[in-house]
Amino acid sequence: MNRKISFGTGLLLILLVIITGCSSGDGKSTTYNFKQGIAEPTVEFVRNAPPDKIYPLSNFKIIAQVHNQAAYDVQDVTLQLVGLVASYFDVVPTVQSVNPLLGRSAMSPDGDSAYVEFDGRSGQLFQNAEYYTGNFATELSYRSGMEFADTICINPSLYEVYDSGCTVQPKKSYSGQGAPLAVTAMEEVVYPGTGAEIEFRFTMQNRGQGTVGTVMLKSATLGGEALDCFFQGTGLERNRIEFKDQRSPVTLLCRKSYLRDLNSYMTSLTAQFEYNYTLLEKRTLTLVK
Amino acid sequence: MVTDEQKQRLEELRTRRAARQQGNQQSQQSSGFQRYVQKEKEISQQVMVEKEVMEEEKEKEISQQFMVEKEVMEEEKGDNSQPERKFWDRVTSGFGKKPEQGVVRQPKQRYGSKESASDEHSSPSGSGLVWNSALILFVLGVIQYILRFVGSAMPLLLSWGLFLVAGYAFAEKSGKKGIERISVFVPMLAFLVWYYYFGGNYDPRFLLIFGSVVAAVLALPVLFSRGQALPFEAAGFIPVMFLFLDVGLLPFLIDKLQLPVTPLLQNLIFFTPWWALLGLYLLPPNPTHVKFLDGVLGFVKVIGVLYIIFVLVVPAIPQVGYNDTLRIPGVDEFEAAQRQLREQLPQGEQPAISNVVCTLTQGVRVAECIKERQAKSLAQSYCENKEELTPDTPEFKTCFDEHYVQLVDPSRAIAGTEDPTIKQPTKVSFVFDPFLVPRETSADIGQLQYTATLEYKNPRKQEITADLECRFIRRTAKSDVAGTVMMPTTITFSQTEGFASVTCIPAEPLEGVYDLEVTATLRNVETRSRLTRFFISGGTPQQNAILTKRVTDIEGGSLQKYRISQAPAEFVRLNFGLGNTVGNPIVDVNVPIYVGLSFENIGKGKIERILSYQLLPESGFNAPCLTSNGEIAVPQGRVAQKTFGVPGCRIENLPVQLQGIKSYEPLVLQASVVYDYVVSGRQQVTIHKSPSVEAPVSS
Repeated sequence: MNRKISFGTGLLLILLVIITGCSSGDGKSTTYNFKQGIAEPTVEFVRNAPPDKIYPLSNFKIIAQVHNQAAYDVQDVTLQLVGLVASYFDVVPTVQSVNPLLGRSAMSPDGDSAYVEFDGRSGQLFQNAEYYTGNFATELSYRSGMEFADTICINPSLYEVYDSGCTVQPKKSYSGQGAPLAVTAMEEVVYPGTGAEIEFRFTMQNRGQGTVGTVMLKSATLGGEALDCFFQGTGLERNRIEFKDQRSPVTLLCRKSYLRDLNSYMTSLTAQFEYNYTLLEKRTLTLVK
Repeated sequence: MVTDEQKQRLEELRTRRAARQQGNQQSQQSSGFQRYVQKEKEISQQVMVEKEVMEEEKEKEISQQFMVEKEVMEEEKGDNSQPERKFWDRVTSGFGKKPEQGVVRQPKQRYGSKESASDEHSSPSGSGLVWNSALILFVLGVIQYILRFVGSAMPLLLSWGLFLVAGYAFAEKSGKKGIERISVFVPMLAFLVWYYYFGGNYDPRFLLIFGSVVAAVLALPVLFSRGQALPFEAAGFIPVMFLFLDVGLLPFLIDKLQLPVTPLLQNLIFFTPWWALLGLYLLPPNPTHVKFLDGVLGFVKVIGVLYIIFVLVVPAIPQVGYNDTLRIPGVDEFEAAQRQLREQLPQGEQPAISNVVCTLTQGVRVAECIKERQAKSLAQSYCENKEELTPDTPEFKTCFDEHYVQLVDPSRAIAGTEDPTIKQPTKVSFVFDPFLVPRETSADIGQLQYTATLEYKNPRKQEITADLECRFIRRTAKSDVAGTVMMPTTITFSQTEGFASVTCIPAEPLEGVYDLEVTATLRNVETRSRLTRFFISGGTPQQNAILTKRVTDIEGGSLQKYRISQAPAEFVRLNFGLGNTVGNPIVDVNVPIYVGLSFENIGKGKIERILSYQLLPESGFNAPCLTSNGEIAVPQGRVAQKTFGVPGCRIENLPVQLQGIKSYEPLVLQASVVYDYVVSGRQQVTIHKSPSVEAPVSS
């Protein structure tokens, strides 16, 4: 009897392993949504360029790989070396332009990348110093876009208890849209009744490693119809805002008056942004005797 | 032990059993059910009786035990003649010492019970060990503190030992066994793995991974103990913290980053016996049960608290940051840095004493009082130990006054520091071979000659000329005697290292004790300094703030060391500063820029002349004080010329590269000073004359 039970259990386990071990293959390539989470272009030095140690009065190269890991194309890309003391490390030129880099997509899941080469020559050490360690930074500047898209429930008749449509989620959170600039939350406020009005409050944050410059709203639609939007606290140019405090969120308010339907319904909400971004990363170069 | 009463009971039981057996035989004829009921009754009765007997036996045993213990306690109470012995018995009891024969110990308490946690002393195994390890920590901590000042290499080993003892003490302090106790060691082990196996890597990405693994490991005891192990794990971080404090994390950062800390603060860093203090606080209340000793320990504890308060209530240490490499320095490096700093420090008054005295004697001006007392003690120590002057002499008073003023008002000079990247500065010194300069000499060998060796290290291959002189300074003799250096009296060297012999012949016969002094005046020595500055041109305060932040982000902690100029540790240093205020490394080119300079004698010799100096020779700056018109007057007296300045000035023109800068421009500025410097060496010699010479034969 015990033998039978053991055999049965063993068989069951084997079956379980086989069943769980099988899968329908890697569905990533077809179903993965690149426009989620936080991703941004990165800069990494190629191995030994620059070398760990540079000797006095020698030529050296700094080769940086700029890799666009965001889900959007980047343009006007420049890479600059900032803070090098020219008497120790003379690099000319210190700024170089990079061609536009495509973002990650189903066609290019890894994103585009480019190599930037800087030529430098080292100077002399001070007196009989044994080494000199110079701090500097790579500054990557670019312009890019970001899209927000979601399907939401609109219910202009909030007091209608017998409405059997969708349920409104007054506040939603988002992990990001595949860029360093992200819409992290959205509130939906409905002013019900005849001539119902709806307001969307988007919370935008810089979740990347760098600095957001100017953010511009290019378009915002609800079910394909344009929304009237403005950034909270802006002046004349209401669709543009300067990110002053990088860690504080910015609010975008979008409104739509006179909703047509009085029953609840699901519809798409989209917003497209364009922004400037700067990524400053600290590096060191060492000159040795 | 079976008593008579118990015997009687047993006898009674036996008789009852026999009677029962008889009854059984008689009732064989009665019905089966009745027989069964009867038997059951008898068995239950028997069980009851046996139970009663057992309980009585147990009670008696306990009362006997209690009596024996009482006797032992009374004996101990009455034995006042040997309190010392009892004290050490208690100390050693924690190390598994077996109780003496005939002494019945208290029943063991349950670990983790309320009793054991609230009253550690009542737990024979727990309390003894707690206070033993704490006491060991305290005693070894004191020993280590003393050894460190003696200059022994032992303290480093002791630090590691104390690290483990501290962990053990915390584990015992928990009063628990099992997982809680072990959990104290988990963070310590994690630290050792991180420090030794991973070389103290503090790359954020590595730390994230390593931290996650450690957090997972730390979570296990917490889960198994249902959260009870958490405080014990936290306690495990305390020994780690103390290890870092003890081996000199702060001095290393100060030494590495060249932070401009005050002598008071430097003293405070070193005068703290960290392990001893930790041991002291781990001691439980009334640890020895000897009133006097407990009183002493309590008093020391209070002193310890006061010490911490006085040590910590000092000016805050300037912001430290260490970003040069992603590997933290080894403990030996910490220790070496601490030793190096300690050697450099004149031994001033213990800062805690200054604090206590000033708090008690001064009402309002405590800070000033501390500063004055520290300055006085440092000046006194400097003149006594470094200058080797005798107190209560006019020279000592001059030295003291000058040094004291410099300490009280350090702002009168532009500061500079040693360049840590230049490991081999120019060095010249005299060495006396005992065969060539014997301490005891007979005058009867004819012409006396003393030969000293001038050793030099000239890593920059400068062409240095040295004029050589010698003399004999009286000690017990009547007067000084001039000396003549045998040719050549001037040598020139340009090799990286070498030596030259200097033979000195006294100008007249010697008798008594002298100091042979050999001097070399080094001519045209050049020493350069460098200063790093970051020039910005924002235009608006907001833009300047952004650029300043950018510089700070990129340079990090290095910015602190760029405040002052750096030069090799040789003879004379030209200290200089440049900026909107001369100590600020970030310079706004749209605001007036000033330059200031001072000279500092950092060698053991004397500056004879400063022939010239030049600031910013290649940078394109223009200002009236950037070059000297001729020789600079040098103050007389070694203390006076320790640091002296010349007036600074405002920069009139900037180099082209600084006009129209967009982001920021870092520049390493240079300065040089050319000077004559006197290096000397002294050796005591005694010249004896034979009696025949000393006392002519009388007729």
